[in-house]
Amino acid sequence: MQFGIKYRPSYSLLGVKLDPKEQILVEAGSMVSMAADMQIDTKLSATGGMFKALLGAIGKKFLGGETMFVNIFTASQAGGQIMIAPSLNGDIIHFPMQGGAIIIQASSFLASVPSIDLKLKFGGLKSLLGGEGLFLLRASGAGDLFINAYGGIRELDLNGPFIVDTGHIVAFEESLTFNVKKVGGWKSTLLSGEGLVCEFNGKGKLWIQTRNVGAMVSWLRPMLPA
Amino acid sequence: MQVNIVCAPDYAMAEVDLAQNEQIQVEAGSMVAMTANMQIQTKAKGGVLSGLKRMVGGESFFMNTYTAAGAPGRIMIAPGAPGDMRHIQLNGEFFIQSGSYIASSPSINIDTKWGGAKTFFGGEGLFILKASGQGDVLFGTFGAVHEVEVNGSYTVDTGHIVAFEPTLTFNIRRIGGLKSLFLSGEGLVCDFQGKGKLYLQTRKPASFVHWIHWFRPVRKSNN
Amino acid sequence: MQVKIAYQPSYALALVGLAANESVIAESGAMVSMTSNIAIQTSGRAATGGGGILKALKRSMLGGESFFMNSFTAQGGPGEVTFAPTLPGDIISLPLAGPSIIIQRSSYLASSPTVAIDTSWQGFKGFFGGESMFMLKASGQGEVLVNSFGAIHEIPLAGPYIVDTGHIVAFDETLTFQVKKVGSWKATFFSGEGLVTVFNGRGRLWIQSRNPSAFGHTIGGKLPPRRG
Repeated sequence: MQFGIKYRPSYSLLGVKLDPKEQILVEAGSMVSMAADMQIDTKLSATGGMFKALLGAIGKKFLGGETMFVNIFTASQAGGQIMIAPSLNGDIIHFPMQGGAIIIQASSFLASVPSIDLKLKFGGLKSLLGGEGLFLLRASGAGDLFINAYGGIRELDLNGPFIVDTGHIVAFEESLTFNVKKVGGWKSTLLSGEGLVCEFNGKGKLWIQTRNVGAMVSWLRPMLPA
Repeated sequence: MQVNIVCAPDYAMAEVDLAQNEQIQVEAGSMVAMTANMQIQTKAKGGVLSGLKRMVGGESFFMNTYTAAGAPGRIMIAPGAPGDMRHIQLNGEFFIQSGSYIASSPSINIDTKWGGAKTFFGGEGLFILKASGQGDVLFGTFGAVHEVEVNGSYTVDTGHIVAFEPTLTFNIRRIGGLKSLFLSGEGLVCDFQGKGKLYLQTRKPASFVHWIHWFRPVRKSNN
Repeated sequence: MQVKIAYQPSYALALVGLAANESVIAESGAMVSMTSNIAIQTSGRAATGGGGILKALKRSMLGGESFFMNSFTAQGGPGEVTFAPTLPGDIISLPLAGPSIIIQRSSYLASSPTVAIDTSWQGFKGFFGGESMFMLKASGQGEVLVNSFGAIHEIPLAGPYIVDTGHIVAFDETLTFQVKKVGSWKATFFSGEGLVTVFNGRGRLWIQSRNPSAFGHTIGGKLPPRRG
């Protein structure tokens, strides 16, 4: 498989050239264009039973009603090209996994090769404030993984406690511990306008996005007509 | 404070480094991330809570004051709208459209009740804050920042106004009989006169709101 | 007219310089700013350079946008008008000199008065539902400014190619196309329809790297409900 990411950092478009019969898993709704003979499947169980886990007790709905269905694209005997983009504007980054694991905010998953195992994790403090839980995927194995962000992506090297608004988390290394909580204890969280935050600790890398759907909704809400 | 704006101009975020005990006032909802020693206090700026309303919808304008307690601290700030941010060091006066204001040093006074603060025509218009004093001001745009050096006169669709220097005077009016032909029924323009810098944003929130309105779920009639 | 496009690719702004008495046509609501000597008109004749198009300009309620066009004329001297679309993204200028270009309606921004904009082109008729699938045909001589949601990606086509319909910005009239529903899949795309277009032939195709409908549904679904 060969890939290239164009129009970074804001309208990133992932172009993938698959070898004959090669496959790629892509979040549903992300196909922009593809070779005319590409095969598409929405098979809900794949290697390692990862999709059974995804559709398990938590149900099919993630943050704000997004469903996490994945389409599997298989190239024909001639190989094939597919272009992929998420619905939100922002950057795409490539993680060349080499056997380790990374934790991804579920809505940031874009695409991966079948050899990457994806398991759902839940990050605590579920929907106290209207659906803002922290749905996480643990991606492990070896192969190519692509994640997208809403906005730009900043890579931070953490070493000690650090607080992040949950809506801005893209991914982080497993070496970090995290604890989801309301911001401070002062007044109501609604008054401060800050929602849930995640306190990270330990040493490791954290990727954040510079925009957040919740904040965009808050920006829009007072301007909406009835 | 030290301000570094990253991911500009598309999804700008300000990384602000504060000295120990230094403070910054930030519009509610803009905190992205911060060191664990930042303390947060919520209050209305200058006690004018009841008077602070946004241009439309009447949402109140809450500010959070962050203090770097016991050590230097870092706070990352971004607005909800996609676009750019600007940091200026103010020593004097500056006018900012209320939706564009993001943060400032506590030494900056934000006045929402000065003479020209509100210009509305039948419910639509502009709410302009007056920032004065000496210190740092951060504002953000929906879209890119387009700076215009006005020298004489210049006309702008009001939804695109971000900020301007006090050497400019302004007058808001409707564009005559074409009101119905503009998106979301606006058709309000602002004529600037004088010599000074005008900051515009290349996207208009009201158009975007109108566009996205149709994607909202429909309220069921038996509610 | 002299066209300069700034702030590409994300929040592009078109700066149109007009000579005295020169005009530019633009979709209503697109004006950002202008020098004080610009006169605005909405006459049918001004809208096309051919006349009579006002009759054909039906109020299109898809996406809540009505499609009206204004003409901006510099009076008594040169002038400048700046234009921007509703959504973040890019703007490019497509010169017309012969073959027509089909443009997705919400991608039309502005054009020279000598370009005829036909809003009654029916090629994509019947394929809509939450997605703004009306197309315009631009023909004649002059310039058309189109905008995209996301980056604009030009594809020189020479053979069959499939595109998710929400990503289409514009294409040369020389291309053939067929709209299909991707019906057999369990999970339809975020566009809600799963519509794809199979293009064929030779010509240029411009796509945008984001799908407005998918974005609208993603954000819209999180907003409070509206009255029906």
